[in-house]
Amino acid sequence: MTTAHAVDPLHVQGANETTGRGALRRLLRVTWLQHRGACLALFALFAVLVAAIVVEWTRADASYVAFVGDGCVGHLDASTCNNEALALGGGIDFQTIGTVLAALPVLVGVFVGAPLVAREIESGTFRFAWTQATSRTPLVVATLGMLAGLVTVLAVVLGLVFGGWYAHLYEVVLSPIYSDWQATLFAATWWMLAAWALMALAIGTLLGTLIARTVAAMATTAGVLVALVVGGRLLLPHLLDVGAHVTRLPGPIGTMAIGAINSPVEGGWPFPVGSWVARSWLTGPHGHVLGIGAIQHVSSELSSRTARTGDRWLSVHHDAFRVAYQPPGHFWMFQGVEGLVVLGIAACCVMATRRLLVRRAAP
Amino acid sequence: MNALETFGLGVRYGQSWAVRDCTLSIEEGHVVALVGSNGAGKTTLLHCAVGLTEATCGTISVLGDLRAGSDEALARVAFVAQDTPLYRHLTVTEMVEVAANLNRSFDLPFATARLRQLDIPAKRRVGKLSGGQQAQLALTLALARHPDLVILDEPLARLDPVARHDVMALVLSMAAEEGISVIFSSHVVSELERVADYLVLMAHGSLQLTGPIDEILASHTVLAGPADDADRVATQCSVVHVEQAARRVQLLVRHDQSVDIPPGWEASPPSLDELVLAYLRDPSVVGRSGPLALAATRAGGTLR
Repeated sequence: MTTAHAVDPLHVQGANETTGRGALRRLLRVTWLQHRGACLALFALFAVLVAAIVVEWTRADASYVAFVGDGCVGHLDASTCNNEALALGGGIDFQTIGTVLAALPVLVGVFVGAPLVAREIESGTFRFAWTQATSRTPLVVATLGMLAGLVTVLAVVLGLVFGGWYAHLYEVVLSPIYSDWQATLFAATWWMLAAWALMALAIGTLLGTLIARTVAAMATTAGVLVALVVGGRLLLPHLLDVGAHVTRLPGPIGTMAIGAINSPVEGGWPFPVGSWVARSWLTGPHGHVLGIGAIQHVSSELSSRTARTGDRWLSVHHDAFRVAYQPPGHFWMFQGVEGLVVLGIAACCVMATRRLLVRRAAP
Repeated sequence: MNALETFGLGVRYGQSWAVRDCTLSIEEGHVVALVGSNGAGKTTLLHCAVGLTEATCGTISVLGDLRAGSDEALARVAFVAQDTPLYRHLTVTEMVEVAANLNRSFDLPFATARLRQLDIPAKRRVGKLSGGQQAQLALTLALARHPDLVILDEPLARLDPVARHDVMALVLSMAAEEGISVIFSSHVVSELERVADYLVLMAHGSLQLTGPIDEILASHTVLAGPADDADRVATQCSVVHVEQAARRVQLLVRHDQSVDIPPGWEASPPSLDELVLAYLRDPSVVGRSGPLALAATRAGGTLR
């Protein structure tokens, strides 16, 4: 039996390699031939996003030179410098790029994951692909693995570039609008982007295998992923109260409200830079949480006092103003937990897909 | 060693059985024609043989005791599906590359030479090829694997007569030279005898008739005689099909040993076409004997 070697024009390399690396290379080539459209589209989106970030980053650097030249470092309170700082950050369409990044996992799930198996089943090509010597489960799992690798690399690079951009801005401007804890940025770290993209890929593949109709699978995947992204964003502020540090403060500071705050640290607040203030409350003489009537009474008493006299007044009345906040050190802990949960869901979807594939009968 | 073996095989889709109680044993080296009307269960049986469909009950194995659809089986079985589904967005070269990379062994020079011989443009997209060219490409990809068993689901359906002849000639020559077994389903009854040496007839998901074609032909006879004597003759043999014209009747009968020709009757061997068509006309034919069967055939054209 002859094995594959160079014969023009039907030139095939290494068709008879049976070692792990050879088999992997062969499957990689098949995956590329079958899914290069989706891969190229992903690359294009990646390139556009990176280019947009780099362009804005460069522009911000140029603005920063002017910012430094005007002696604004450390003098944001001066109106000129404040305007320059706003211009430094405000010209950048941060939210747009952040939103596109948040949509990236959805795009991966819809355009890469959902058609992966659904298109094979719908077009009937599964009857070719799944009856070759490389049977269906290793083929689909290897294909999924290779696409997952590509998606991971792209997501990690995007997350790092985006993170570098806003971290840079944050250091320069020290503006709280770029807090890592905000939902847009929380979901756009290299770790979270990769985890969500992998989960989206796995969910799309599972739904495609289950539904076996490309368009229906894409639509369902879009619905499920959008629901998960939106749900995650709505849930995040509530989760950020979990395990928060509680501290006693002299009294409500500035505009700090009583109740759910969910805000990054602003100037003048006595928390480490990079903290996230979750909520605040007042406690009475026995440590119990005060109700709305008592809060209103305390607020009216404190409104006419300075922070110092206000604190004394609270001590005399055995009341205390307490705040729960997440210190910066908790950021990666939260990232890690959410990322692992997301990756766990992805792993479950892959296992379910594998099970479905084994049991799947030809339609 | 058996190329294909089933025991009590059944496949159910929802409430209906696509294949039921199918027990079959085909030795290797045969070219098997799987024949049956639409919905007879041919494709389901073939899908079971390559693991695309899971059996609801019973067992199916290929090439000895290899579980159908297992990695070991798929490495030695090539399958060309109905309508030859291939990746339409790929070029012919890329399609060959995909097939070569999905198999541990692939005879690239054979594939190349055959595609050149067929004038199939290497750089054309598969979706732009004619139906016949797509079928030829799919068959080439299957044969280039040099499998021990080739399973073809309606391979001739999209081919013109010349291409049909060439395809079957190629399959037969490979079967003869390499000793591979071939199972193909087909509606083209006229070419079965030239191509196949083993017949499997299916109807309503069940096996109707199975065996080597020469044995099947030897166990059937066409008896022609007076219509008014048909009842008496029918009590003595298993009638498969009845054709009546004026006062003459023609019975296709099935027998285990040589048939006794009744006085006044003429006997002749049936052609394979004739025999297959007789069974296809009535999927419920099981070759029962007796006047009741004959009456049933006269009334509804069938024997039950």
